[in-house]
Amino acid sequence: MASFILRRLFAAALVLFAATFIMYLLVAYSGDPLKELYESQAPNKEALIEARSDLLNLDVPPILRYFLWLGGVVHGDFGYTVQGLSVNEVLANAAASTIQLVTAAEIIAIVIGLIVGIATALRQYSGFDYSITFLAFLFFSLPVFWVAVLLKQYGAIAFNDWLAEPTISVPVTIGLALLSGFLWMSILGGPPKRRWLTFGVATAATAAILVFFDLTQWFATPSIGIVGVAATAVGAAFLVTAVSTGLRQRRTLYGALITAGIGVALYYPMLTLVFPMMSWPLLIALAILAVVVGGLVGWFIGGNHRAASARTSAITAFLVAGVLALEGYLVWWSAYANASRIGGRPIATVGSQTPSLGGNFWIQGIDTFTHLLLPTIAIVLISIASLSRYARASMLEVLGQDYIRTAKAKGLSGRTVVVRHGLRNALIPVMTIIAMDIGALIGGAVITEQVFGWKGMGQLFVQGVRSVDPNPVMAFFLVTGILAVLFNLIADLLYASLDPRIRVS
Amino acid sequence: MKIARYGAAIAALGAGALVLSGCSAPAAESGLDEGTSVTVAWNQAFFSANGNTSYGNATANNNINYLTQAGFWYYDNTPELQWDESFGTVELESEDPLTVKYTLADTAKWSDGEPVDAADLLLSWAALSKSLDTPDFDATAFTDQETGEFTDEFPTDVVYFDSGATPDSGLGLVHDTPEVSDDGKSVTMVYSQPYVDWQLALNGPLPAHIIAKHALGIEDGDEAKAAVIDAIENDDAEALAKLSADWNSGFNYTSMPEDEDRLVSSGPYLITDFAADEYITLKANEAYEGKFAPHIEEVTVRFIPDPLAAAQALANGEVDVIQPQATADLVEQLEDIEDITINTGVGGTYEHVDLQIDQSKNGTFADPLVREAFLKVVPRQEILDKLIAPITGDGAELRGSFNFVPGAEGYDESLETSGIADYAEVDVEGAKALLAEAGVTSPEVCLLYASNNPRRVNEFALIQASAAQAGFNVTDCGSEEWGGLLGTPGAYDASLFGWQSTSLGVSSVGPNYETGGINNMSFYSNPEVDALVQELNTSFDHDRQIEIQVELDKLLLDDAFGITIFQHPEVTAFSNTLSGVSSSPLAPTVFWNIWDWEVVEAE
Amino acid sequence: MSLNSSIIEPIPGEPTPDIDGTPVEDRGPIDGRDTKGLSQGQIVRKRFFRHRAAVISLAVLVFVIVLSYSSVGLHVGGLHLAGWWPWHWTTPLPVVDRGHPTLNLVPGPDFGIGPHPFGQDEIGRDVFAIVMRGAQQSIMIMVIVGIVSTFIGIVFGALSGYYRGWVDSVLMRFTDVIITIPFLVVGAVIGNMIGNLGAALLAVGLGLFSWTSLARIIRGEFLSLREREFVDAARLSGASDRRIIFKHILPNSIGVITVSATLAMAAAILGETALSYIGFGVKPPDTSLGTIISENQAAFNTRPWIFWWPGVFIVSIALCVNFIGDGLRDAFDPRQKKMPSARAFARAASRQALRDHRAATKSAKAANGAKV
Repeated sequence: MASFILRRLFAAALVLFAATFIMYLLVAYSGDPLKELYESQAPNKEALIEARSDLLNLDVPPILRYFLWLGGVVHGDFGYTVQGLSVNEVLANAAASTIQLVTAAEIIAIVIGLIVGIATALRQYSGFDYSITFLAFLFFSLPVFWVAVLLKQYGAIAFNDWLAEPTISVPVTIGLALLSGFLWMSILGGPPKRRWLTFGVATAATAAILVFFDLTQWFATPSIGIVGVAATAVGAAFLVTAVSTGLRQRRTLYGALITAGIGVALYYPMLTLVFPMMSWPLLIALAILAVVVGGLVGWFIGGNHRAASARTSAITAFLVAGVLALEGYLVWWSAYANASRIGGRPIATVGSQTPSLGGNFWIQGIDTFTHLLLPTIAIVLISIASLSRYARASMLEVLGQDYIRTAKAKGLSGRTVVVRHGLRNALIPVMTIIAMDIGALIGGAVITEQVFGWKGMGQLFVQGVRSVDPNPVMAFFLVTGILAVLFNLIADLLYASLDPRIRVS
Repeated sequence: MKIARYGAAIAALGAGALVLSGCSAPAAESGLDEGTSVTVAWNQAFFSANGNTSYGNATANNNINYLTQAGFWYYDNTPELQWDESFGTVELESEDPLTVKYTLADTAKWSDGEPVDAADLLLSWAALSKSLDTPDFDATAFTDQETGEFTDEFPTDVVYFDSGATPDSGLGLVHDTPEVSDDGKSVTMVYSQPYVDWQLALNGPLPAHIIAKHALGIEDGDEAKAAVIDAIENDDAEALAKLSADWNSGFNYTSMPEDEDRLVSSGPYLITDFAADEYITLKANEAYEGKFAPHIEEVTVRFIPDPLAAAQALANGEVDVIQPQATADLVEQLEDIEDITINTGVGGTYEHVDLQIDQSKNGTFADPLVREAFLKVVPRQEILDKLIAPITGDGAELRGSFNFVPGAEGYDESLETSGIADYAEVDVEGAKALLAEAGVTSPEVCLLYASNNPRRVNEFALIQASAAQAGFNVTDCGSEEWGGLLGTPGAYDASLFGWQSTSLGVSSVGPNYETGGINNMSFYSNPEVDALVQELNTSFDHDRQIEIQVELDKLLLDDAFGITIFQHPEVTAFSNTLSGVSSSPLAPTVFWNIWDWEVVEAE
Repeated sequence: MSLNSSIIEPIPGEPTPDIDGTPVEDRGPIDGRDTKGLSQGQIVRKRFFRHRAAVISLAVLVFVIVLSYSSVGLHVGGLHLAGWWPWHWTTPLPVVDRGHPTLNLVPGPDFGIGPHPFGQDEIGRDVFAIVMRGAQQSIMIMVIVGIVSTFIGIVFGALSGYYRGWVDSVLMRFTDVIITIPFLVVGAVIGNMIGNLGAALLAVGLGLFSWTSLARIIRGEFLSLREREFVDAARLSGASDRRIIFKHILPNSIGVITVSATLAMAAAILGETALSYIGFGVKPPDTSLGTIISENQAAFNTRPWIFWWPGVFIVSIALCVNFIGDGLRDAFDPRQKKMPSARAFARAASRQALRDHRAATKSAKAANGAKV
């Protein structure tokens, strides 16, 4: 294992070395970093030109200059920008927000992309499949900055306008309800009678929720409430059990339900006593605690299937804890939205935080969310498109295999076949795609940062290229290259763990 | 069953918790900051609190430094020079030799309690005159080749102030160490030769005691100041070397500096928060006693380069004041936003066409007749109507003078004298006649412009189409590197670009037109112009200065040197929750009166 | 959870004829089609034309190409052929009605395209002419990137897949190096370097860096095909490497190549758009669809026609090319067959059941008869 990783890392280092060499020469030969000084009308122009060319070693030919740069990088020094700023400092400021954006987008894109891809594969050639296919191609064909500009106009400005008076008109309610009905009907499928039933139930439920939201002005003061938390917790318990062991495992189900019950019981104590003094370490500790407690409950109740039951309860506990945390954010939402620096317009169009907002853990979290929301959507939309296509193709391929037939022939339930035999094998090729997708994602992030005024690495890169400034461009490239190599390595390891035919040695 | 019992216990626990908590929504401190605040969008990030170094001299820095470094003078939005007596006074003691006395007021104070005094001014003089710099020192020779760093191998006994000063202008002309008064509150400077723009030579200083603290390691403020005065008066190279190094780079930072000292302010605001490349926040300076006490507690400047993004941020309430690069679309978009005020005015830059008189690509414009013919077909009015009027509205005006901003004293006189009004509309017949007279058919004109600037690309298209009517073949010499190509012999025949005025001083006029002037890119030479420029540079009489510039305008147009087109429009939009915002054509534009701004509740 | 549709998924078939000559019992697809002897080209064409979205896309793409090149004419190098559209994309005209589009599809007195169907820009140029010119440039970039990257991809993929060994190692490590550089990153640098030398050169530059996935796919294809019996047969009969590569393996991988090339082309048009947006694509006074949008993005609220029309053309071209690629993949890949409708299935199934029933009764009768 270790030697496999080492060998991979060594190969990656060689690849990075060659790639940086090519990039360095490309950037160095793409123009003259002194051009803006030639335009300068400063009386000491000559001195400035000389100072800059010394700072950037411009008297050294680019091929040799690359090795000067490499020498610096090995010692942890990325050199200077044409403005004379230390790239290390600039990079430290920029990297955090970009990595945050890319990671959030990648994770969401993978989760949604896989779900959509698998759902369309299971409902191949249905209306649902065709609609999703068309949408995927459409998103795939949209220029990302176009989406971003539209998102700003409609996702932020128009949505904030609407939030000032959050009423849902009757036609909108009817439209959304019908859409949701159609969606659920196509996803769940089945014989016509069941389809119509699904359609009816989904439509009515959606309409009821929308009317409820409208009447209670839910969007102005959103909250889940103990009833909502309880309903979600019980739902989660049933769903997790259904997917992991099936509802026939009574003991497992009871374990999950009890775990959910503990979560609901903790609703008020958490909200009043624990949440006001929340911090990141505490949050992580609580999450771990929830998983451990859930696991223990499942273990003691599980009977003959201790392990499966413990796993089920632990996942349930994690989900219920998540819902509780969400409620924590919602409690502080109206305080945030009505703060003087927000002025009732929570969804942001610019930057990664509200300047000098102040605020506790929850307020800060909401602020990050409102700034991260639109850029993430913009990148995710495009990534989902390709990921869902690959997931669909891969799932279809797997479902056509003989072992799936055999599994079905054995009389295994649809759930077991899809989850245990289909999904696992379908994920293998998708893993490689995810690793390759990271490059496209970084490209998308460069553009999105530009539109949303995030001062991340994309800005660093664009400005670097514009002023023919190899050092920041190379710093950007090195960080993204390492990120790509890292994701590739993770993909390889996952690949190996999913595919029994591959042994890492 | 066991499980049922567990379940019951849990349910009971839940019910108990419910009752205990009393079903009330939790309430605790949100920790939000709720003081009055205003957010201004700017297109570039702040990176240096010393705007006098060649490195730090940028609008983005000077805007912020204007709020944290009080000075003797500023420009109002007329624009006219105004004095701030609550900081100090500047007196002209004698014209020959030119002697200027700077006296600081008692209300001039640093935010750490130290007074602003002669030590600060003396250090400014040392920096801006470079009179104490080690002679013939080549800073670059001592740069570390490996890292390019300035300081590591820098000789400790070398004095080098990176102010870009030259010995023939501004404080560079004050060669002798200024005299400090006994109370340490005033400084007298004697110029070695007359200098018309003496008023503008010195403004707000940097805190000398902070520089001395870092450079010389003296903690006590008064001792530090004394050490600075000592070092300068005795020309102590070793101390000065350290001081100059700190002056050069100590105030450069791109995020909150580790040392709070660097934030010490003498102006109405104080930097309190700085997120790299995102925003900088300033709070009212409690120690400030000058006359510009601000109404708004907190000012945040967000760095948003894209004009559309700035407009959307304004619409979304994320910023309150924007001054983006003006385009017709932007203005129209702003007009759709509710509850904001839009002011359109003129900025400090003017657009113009220069003709290469010598050393041109095709030699087209060596003949004054061809030059005049070309000026006759530059569609000035059409450019104004199509590109500028949609921004500024019906009041759009052509700029008719090389030297005067429209509306400034002398502008109308210049218009009358030079007769530039005849060039407003395209005169195809007149141009054809002139070309016939010169005996030239279809002359080629390669026009240099910024190909990455959409407005200039549009102007080029209009000029090309219009000049073609008179037989000119205007070809595309547009380039992104236009600035570097300016003044390059043989590269082009005519150029289209803008000159920006940063001050009302007259010493910047000469270099544009005198023979061999550094900004004379078209190899223009006229002895009459040279003589006038010479007179202008040494004439203290304001009326005479204006007369000379009017004459210059006429001579330039008679020689068909080139033609001015329009003043760049400037758009300021701000939320109606603010009052008192009004921009100035000169730097620091919208920031010039930030202390007069007030937050008024819109509801 | 029901899995009906995937249960009756057809078994993946073999694309190549059987070598050992043993007749394989093949009842054909359940709907009973595709049984006649057709050449591969015919099969592919037939399958492609059955993919409705791909056919519509092909029609739309052809329409866009014809429209853009015929309207404002062909201008390549020194060659200038005028089109039927009256305005040139650089001619400033008087601005009428703030440049509003005159296209009106509502029946009535104003029905028709009018003098400026897509409106005018700030200085009065005709937006239709600009968009047509932009579409020409974007299509040209797309095609050049497609050709360059396909060519390099084939050369790299074929050589390393066919020769394996150190050739493979060297070429694939080089591919790894290039693949590490995101398209947008290298595109920005190249655009900054040569963007002002014209769209064609930019496209060549982009093509030089977008062949990597193609090379990998073709290598994989070559690796598997070179082990096949028909290649062995060719080699035994004394065919040269060149002949084997060009006459035997390459034609068999044409499907993969076509599909990858179309996808690379769709990516290229979007890549150029993104590059233009950050200012590294085609530079004025030349234009492309991406350049038009990025130059006029401030107008998207106020003069939306300048922003939307080029956007519509980008999306339609990219969408069409993607769908054509999808159609080609379905056509070349026998496993990704378009499923017949549920009704067709039911009919086919009942026919089959009937046949089986008859066969069963016949054999039963025969058996009975034998007994009798």
